[in-house]
Amino acid sequence: MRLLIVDDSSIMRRIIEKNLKDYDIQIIGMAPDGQTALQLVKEHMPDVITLDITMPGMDGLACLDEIMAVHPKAKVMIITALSDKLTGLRALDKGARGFLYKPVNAVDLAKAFDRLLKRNENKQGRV
Amino acid sequence: MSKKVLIVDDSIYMRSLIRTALEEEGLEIVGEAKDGETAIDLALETTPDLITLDNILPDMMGFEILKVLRDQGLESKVIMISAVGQQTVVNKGKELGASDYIVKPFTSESLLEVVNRVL
Amino acid sequence: MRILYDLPIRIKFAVVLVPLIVIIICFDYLQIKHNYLDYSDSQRLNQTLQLGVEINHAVHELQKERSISIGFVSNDGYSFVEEMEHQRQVTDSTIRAFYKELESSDLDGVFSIHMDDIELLKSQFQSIKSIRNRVDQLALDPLQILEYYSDINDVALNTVDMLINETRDKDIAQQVHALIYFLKSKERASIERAIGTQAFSHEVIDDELYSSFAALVAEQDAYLDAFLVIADQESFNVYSRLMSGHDVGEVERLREVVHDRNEMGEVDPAYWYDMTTSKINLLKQVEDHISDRLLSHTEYLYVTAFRKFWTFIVLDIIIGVIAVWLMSIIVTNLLANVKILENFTLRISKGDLSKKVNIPTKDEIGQYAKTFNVMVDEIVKSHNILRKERDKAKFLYNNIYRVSLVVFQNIHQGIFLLDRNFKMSKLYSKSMEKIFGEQKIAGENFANFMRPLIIPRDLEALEMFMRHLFNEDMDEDVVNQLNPIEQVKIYSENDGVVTTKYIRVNFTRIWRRDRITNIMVTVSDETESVLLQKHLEEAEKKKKQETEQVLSILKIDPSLIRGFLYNAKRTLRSISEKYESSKDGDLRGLLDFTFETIHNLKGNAVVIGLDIMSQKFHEVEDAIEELKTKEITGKDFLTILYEIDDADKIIDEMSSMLRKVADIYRKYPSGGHVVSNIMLIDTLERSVKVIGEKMDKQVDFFFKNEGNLVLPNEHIDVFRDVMIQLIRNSIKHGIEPKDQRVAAGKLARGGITIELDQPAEGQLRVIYKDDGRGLDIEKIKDRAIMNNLLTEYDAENLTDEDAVGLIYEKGFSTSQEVDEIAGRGQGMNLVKNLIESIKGTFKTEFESGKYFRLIIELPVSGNIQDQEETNEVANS
Repeated sequence: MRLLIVDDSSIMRRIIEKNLKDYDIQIIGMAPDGQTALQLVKEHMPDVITLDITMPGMDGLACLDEIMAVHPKAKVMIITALSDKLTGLRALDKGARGFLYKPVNAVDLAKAFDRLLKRNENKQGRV
Repeated sequence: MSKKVLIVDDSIYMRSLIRTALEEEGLEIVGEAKDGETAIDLALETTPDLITLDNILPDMMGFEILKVLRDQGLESKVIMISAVGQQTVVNKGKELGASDYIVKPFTSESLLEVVNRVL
Repeated sequence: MRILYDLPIRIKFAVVLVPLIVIIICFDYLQIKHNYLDYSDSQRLNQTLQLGVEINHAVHELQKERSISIGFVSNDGYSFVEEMEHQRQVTDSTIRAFYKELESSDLDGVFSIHMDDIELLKSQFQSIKSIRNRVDQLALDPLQILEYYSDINDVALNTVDMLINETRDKDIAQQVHALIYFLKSKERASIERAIGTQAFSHEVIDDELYSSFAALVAEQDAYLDAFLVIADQESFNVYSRLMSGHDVGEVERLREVVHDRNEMGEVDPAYWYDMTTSKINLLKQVEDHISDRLLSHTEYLYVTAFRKFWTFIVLDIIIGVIAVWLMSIIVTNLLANVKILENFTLRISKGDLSKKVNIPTKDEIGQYAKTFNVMVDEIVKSHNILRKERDKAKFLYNNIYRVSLVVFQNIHQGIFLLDRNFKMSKLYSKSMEKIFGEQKIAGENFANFMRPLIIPRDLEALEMFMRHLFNEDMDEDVVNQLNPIEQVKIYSENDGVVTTKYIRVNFTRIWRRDRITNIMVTVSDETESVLLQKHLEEAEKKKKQETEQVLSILKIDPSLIRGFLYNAKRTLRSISEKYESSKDGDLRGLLDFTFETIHNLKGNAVVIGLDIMSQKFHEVEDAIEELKTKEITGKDFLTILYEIDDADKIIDEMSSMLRKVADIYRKYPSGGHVVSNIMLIDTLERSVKVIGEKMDKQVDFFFKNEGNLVLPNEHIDVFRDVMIQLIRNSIKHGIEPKDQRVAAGKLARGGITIELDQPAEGQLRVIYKDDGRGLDIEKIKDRAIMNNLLTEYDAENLTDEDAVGLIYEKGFSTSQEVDEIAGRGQGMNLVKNLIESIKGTFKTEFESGKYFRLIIELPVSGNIQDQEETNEVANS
C-alpha cells in the first residue's frame, strides 16, 4: 500500500504520517501543494492519496481533477477542515473515495483507511 | 229405325229376360251369344248399336271380348253386366270403352233405364 | 330452453320419462283395446255366425216346406199330406233351435245392434202358423204360398246378412258375403223348384209364370256368379266337386224343357221335384260346408284373439312392471348418488373437508366421487399449506407489520423510505406530518419536498448527496459524513404561521442482495433541544456575568458580605428553629414572621448589591405571598422550607467563595472601620445607581463628611439598612420623573444627599435628604384611613406633625406592588424600628414639592474621628 500525503500544513502532514506508522503503509511522498502532488502522482502512481482541499495555488478539487485524469485508479481520501458539505460532495463526484474532517485523531484515521481499503476487496459488506 | 242390340250371356234365362225387356222397348235384337267366340262373330257380323255383355262367360271374360271388339274397330255401345262385387272388372271395361254397367240380379226397369241412358 | 337446463336433475328425469311413460301407456291402451276389439269382435262374429247358421237351417227347411205346401195346394190337398206334416215338424225344430240359440246369454252384443232385424224375423217366423192354416184350408194359391214363404226367407237371409256384415275381418266378411250370395242363389233355386213343380203339374207354363221362372234362374245364376267370384278357393272347390253328377245335369236339362215350353206334359212334376230337391240338397251340403268352415275359422280367430289379448296384457304388465322397477332403481340410485354428491359438495363449500364421499357404484358418478375425494385431499393439503402460510403471515403481521405500524404511528421521529428516484414512500410515520405540516408526502421527490424549506446551497448538496447514497461503490459512512441536512434549520408553515424548526435527518441504506433498493430516512425534530442548548448557553453567559457582578461587589466590601452572610445564615436558622419549635402552632403568625425576616434579608441583599441573594429571597417571598391568600397547612410550609434551604445553600456557597476572597484581603490588611465606611458609602452610591436605573430615574448621590467621621462598626449594618430603605423610598416616591422635574423648574437629575456631622461629643448626626416632591399630608391621611390606622374624624383633627408620624406606623405603606425596591409596606416602619434598635432618634422635615429630609441622631461612644487616614494614605 503506497500513500501520498497532500497538505499545505507541515504539522498536518506529520500527524497523518505519525498516525499511520503502525499500519502496513508505505509513504512514498508528501506534497505541500497541488503542483507538487501532481508531480509525485505521475512519478509514483500511489495507491492511496490523502488530499487537503484548501491549499495555496491549485485547490484540492482542481488537484483531484488532475489526479483522476492521470491516475483514475487512485483512491483519494479528502482530509479537510472545511465544514462545507457541498464541497465534500463535489469531491466525491470527482472521484474521491474517502472523507475525513480535521482535526483528525488516530482512531478516525485508522477507521477511514480501513473503510477505504476494505471497499477495495469487498465491495459491499452488507446483505 | 230401331236400334240393333246383341245380347251376350251364358245363361239362357238371362238372355231371355233381357230380350223380353228390350223388345218391349222396341229395340231390335240382332243376336244372342252364350260364349265369347260366338259373341265376337255375331258382333262383327251384325255391328249392333248396343251390346249387353256378361262378364263371366265359359270361355272368356267380358272385358276380353270388349278388347277384341275394340281392336277390330267396332264402335258399338257396350253395357257391361256384372255380378255383385266386381267393381274392378267394371272399371276395366270402362277403360276399354264400355258405356255403362249394370249389376245383376237386376229388374227390367233398371235395365231399361241404363239402356235408354246409353242410347 | 334455459329453464330446461336449470331444472333439478329429478325434474329433468321426470321431463324425459313422464311423456315417455304416458305415450307407452297410450299405445298400450290402444293395443289392448285393439286386441280386445279383435277378441270381442271374433267372439261376436262366431256367435252371430252360429245364429246365422241356425237361421240358414230354418230357411232351408222353410224352403222345403214351401215346395211341399205348393205341391199340396196344387193337388188340392190330395198329395204331400204326410210329407207336409213331417216337413212342418222339421221346420219347427230348426226354428226352435234358432230360438234356443237366441236365448243363449252371450248374444247381448248382437242384440244391441240388430234388435230390430231379429224382432222382424221373429214376427215372420210367427206368421208361419197362419200361412200353414190357410194352406191346410186350401185358401192360398201356389203363387201366394211362394210369395209368403219367400218373404219370410228374404227377411231371414237379410237378417243373416245384417248379422254377419258386422265383422272387421275383410277375409271373413268376403266369405260371409260369398255365403250370402250362395244362400240367395239357393233360395232362388228353391223357388225355381216350386214354380217348376207347379208348371210341370199343369203341363203348361204361361207367360207370366215363365217370366218369373226366367227371372228366378237368371237371378240364381247371377248370385251364383257373385258367389263364385268372391268365394275362396276351397269353397270354390267344394262347390265344383259337389255340384255335378246326374241330378245336377237333369235340372239343367229340365230347365231347357221349361224354356222350350212345348214338352211340359212329358215330365212328371215329382221327377222335377226330386231332381231339384237333390240339387238343392247338394247346395245345402255346400252351404253347410262353407258354414262349418266359417264357424271353425271364426272359432279359431276368437281363440287366437283371446289368447293374444291375454298374452299381450300379461306380457305388457310383466314388462311394464320390470321396466318401472328397473327405472325406479336406476333413477333412485342416480338421484341418491347425485344427492350424496350434492351434500358433499355443499359441505365442502361450507369448508368442512373432514369427510370423504362414498359412492359404491362404478359408473361415472362413482368415478366422480373418487375424483372428488382426490380433489378434497388436494384441497386439504393446499388448505393446510395455506393455513400455515396464513399463520405465518399473521404472525409476521402481528409481530412485524403491526408493530411497525404502531411504531410509525407513535414514534417521534419522522421515518420514510426513498426509492432510487428519490421518491418518498407511501408509508411514513405520523410524525412526518407533525414535523413538516400537512404537506403532500407520499410519492413526492424528496429534493422537491425540501426545496422550499432549506437554502439552495443545501438543496444542491442534498441532491448530490442522495445520488452518492444510492451509489453502491461509495462507502455509506463516508457519504453520511457529508449529509448536508444532518442538522438544518427549516421554515415550515403550519396553519398560516411560519415557524422555525431545527431538524436532524439521517440516512440509512437498505440493501437487497448487492443493490441498494431504498434509503431509510429518519427525521427528528431537534428544535427543543437546540433551543434548550441555546438557552443554556445564554444562561451560562448570564451566570458568568452574575459571578463577575458578585465578585465586583465582593471586591468592594467583603466584610459587608461576610456580615450579611453570617446574619442571613443565622436568621434562616432561626426561622427553621421557629418552625420546629412551633409545630401546629400559629401558622399564620409563623408565616408573617418568616415573611418579615426574609424581606429584611432581601432588603439587605439589595443594599449590598447581592442580586443572587435578593432574587432568591424574592422567590421565597413569592412563595409566602402565595400562601398568604389561602388556608395554610403544615404541608404548605415545606415549599417555603425548601426555598429557604436553597437560599441557605447559596449562602454556604458564597461563604466559601468569600473565604477565598478573604484570603486575598488577608494579604492586604486595611484599617477596619475606615475600610468598612468606604465600602459602605460605595455601596450606598451604587445602590442609588442601581435602584435609579431600575426605576428609570437618574439620581445623583452626594455624601458629605466634613469632619471625617467614622461610623462604628457595630452601627454599620443598621445604618446601611436604614439608608437603603430611605433611598428606595426617595427614588420610588419622592423623586419625580424627569419631565415632571423639568416642568417644576428643577434639575432633570434628582439628588440624594447623606451628610454626617457631630453636633456634640458622643453623638452622631446623619442628615438624609432628597430633592423630590416631599410629603403630601392629605394623601398620607387618606392612606392612613384606607389602611384603617385612623378614622376620618381623627384625621380631621390631626396636626401636620402627627400626620407625618403616620408614615412610620406599621402597615401604613400603601404600595400594592411587591418589589424588592419599595418593599412591601414595611418601608418607614422598618426605618423607625432600626433607628430605635440602636437607641437613635429622628426628625422628619419636608417642603411640599421641594425636598424631604430625615435627621437621625445616634449616640456614639469613643472617637469617631478618622485617625488612621494618614496611615492609610501612607500605606497606599
